[in-house]
Amino acid sequence: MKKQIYWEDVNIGQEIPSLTKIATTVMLVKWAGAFGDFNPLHYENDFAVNFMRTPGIIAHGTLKRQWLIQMMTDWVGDEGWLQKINTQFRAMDFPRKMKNLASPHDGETWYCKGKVTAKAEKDGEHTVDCDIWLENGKGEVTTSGTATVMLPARK
Amino acid sequence: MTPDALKHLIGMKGTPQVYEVTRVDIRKIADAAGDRNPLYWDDDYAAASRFGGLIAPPDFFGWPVKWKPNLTFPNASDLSLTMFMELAKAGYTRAINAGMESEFFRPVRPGDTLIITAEVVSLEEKEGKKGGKMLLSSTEYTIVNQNGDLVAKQRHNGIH
Repeated sequence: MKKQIYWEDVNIGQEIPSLTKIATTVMLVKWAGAFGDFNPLHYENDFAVNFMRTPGIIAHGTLKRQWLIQMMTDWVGDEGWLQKINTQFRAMDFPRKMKNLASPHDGETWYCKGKVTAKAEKDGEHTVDCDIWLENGKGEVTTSGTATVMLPARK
Repeated sequence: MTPDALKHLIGMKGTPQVYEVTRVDIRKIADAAGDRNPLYWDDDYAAASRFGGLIAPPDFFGWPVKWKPNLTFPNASDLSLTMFMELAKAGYTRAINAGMESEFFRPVRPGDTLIITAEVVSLEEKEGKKGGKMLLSSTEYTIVNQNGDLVAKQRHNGIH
């Protein structure tokens, strides 16, 4: 059983425990299949470069968003509930290529991060608003947004 | 501003799409995201939680029961196909996912049948950064379950 966080324990300005992720070409293919986004932009380099005019294949916005969702659901625990999430895809992220069947080459690592911006109590619901974002290895924010979660209260 | 040639699309709704949620789909999506949350994986753990059983990760609504072959997006509705064709006629042949907004009201569980209805809510033409024009689109999806309960609302914002 994971440790449960309570509304009273949360302070404005507090950071949400960050989540580290590595996008690989294999991960993008898995995501395409599982989520149902078969846009070749995410797995066919010539199409990406020649038709979409990107420097190469790019990670799905929906995958980056799902990482941020995971950061939030990990944080709020089983008693919490993710109510709202808004994300803007601001910059492209390029997956690492595979070195062998199991491991990617060295390269970019991504960090999901977040910070509490507000707390509220209304009609028995205890909610927390957060800014959330995804940083690449250079510290550039490539996806940003906001989330609202419901947390259990102690009283 | 909405280009005149595209004004007829605003408010247009797609045929409601029917989706089924299975535990296999849930595990595939959780695996693809690298999320090992036991609420998505472990029946016994999930049964003992307040959800009383496995749930799907937020923003996952299963797979369409029917879809036409050769589609790049099986989750695309007839509405998005109509929209993309009309946009292409107006000179916008590319589509980039600029952002998404979701609100979740109820958990999604294996065995659920979800009905998703899409509606075009805005199409705004703007000057692009490098000159030329770009189009911002916004489509809203309303997701209800087999009991008619509202499960989620989602808005997709595209750049064309």
